Amino acid sequence: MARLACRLIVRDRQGRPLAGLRIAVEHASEATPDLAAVTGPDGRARLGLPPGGVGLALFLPDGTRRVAEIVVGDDPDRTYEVNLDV
Amino acid sequence: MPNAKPWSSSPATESAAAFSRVETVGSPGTADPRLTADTLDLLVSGRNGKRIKSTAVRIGTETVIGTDDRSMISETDKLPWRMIAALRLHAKAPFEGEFIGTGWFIGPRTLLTAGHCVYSDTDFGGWVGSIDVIPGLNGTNQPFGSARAVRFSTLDDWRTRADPDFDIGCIHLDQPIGSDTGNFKIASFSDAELKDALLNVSGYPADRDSGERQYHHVNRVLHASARRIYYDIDTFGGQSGSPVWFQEKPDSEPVAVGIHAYGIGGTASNLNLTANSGPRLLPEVVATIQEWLQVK
Repeated sequence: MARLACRLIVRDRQGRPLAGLRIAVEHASEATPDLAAVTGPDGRARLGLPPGGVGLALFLPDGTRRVAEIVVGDDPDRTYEVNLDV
Repeated sequence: MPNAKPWSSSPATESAAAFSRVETVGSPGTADPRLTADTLDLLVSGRNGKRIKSTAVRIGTETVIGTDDRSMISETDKLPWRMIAALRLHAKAPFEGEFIGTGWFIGPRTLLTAGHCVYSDTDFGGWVGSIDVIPGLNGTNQPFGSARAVRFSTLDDWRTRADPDFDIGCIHLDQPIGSDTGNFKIASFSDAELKDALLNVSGYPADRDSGERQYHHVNRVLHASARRIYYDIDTFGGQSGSPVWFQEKPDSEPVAVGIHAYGIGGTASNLNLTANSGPRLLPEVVATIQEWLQVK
């Protein structure tokens, strides 16, 4: 399984970091473990993801679910920005 | 006495030696040992040639298969639920971040979980830094308190090759919290024992109640490969490491036979299955786990 160490930063529509979000993989090109990451106070999280399209499920502290799609490149340690309309 | 004539035997037609059963000892713990009526309603036991629910179209999530049939567990201070712990995984610097997983007691100071909950090059940069273990977490209620673990074990096949068939990890605690909660028995089930077995899976999914409540689901073994068990039991991210267990009868001792690790993306397409999966507790794996139980 060729997962890459990826950094995520999650922000709201005003560009403010969203802390305490739980992130799980909805779909990806390869199998991913059934782990969930949690964003820190700066809205950042780290997750091992396979290259290609990845669908993420993000859960706000109030339980609201959002989805986001990112395209993971071949190079590790990239930061992917996820902007949510909240 | 005449000499015997030369003779030959046909090649063995059985493909493998007899499967050896290796197991550990379970315990109900010192807390209330009774099974509640609600628990007996939820648990499945025995074997069934039919699946509990019909095949349904995946509704878009990696690991919930068809309709989400998970049940929230409210009696997490009771058996068997209290033997299952919410995990909060903390990476060491320079990796940052927290993760949600699930573990379960196999001894007073020892839990099993997925290998990727204790070791991951991509999530932790190697070994996880620390894990907060919260048995029977139920919202803000921690009926048995919590403990922070900093000692872990995993199979070399997971650590060196990230082979999902060996995705098994162990958490070592200093405090014997498992004496109160009780612990699962684990056993290496043969293919025949797994056939049509009804399985229970319970853990802490991140999509429900902030990952702070335990959710349970059941179904039949769909397929058992040499090293993995496949089942259409609903799970979600956060349930990595959940116990996959069998009970002969509703009030029988729960026996863990696998560890949940992957959603449907972890099932090879050539199996023609829509299933979640986890590594089997094979004889040599149980023998390794018996050594982990002795780690001080």
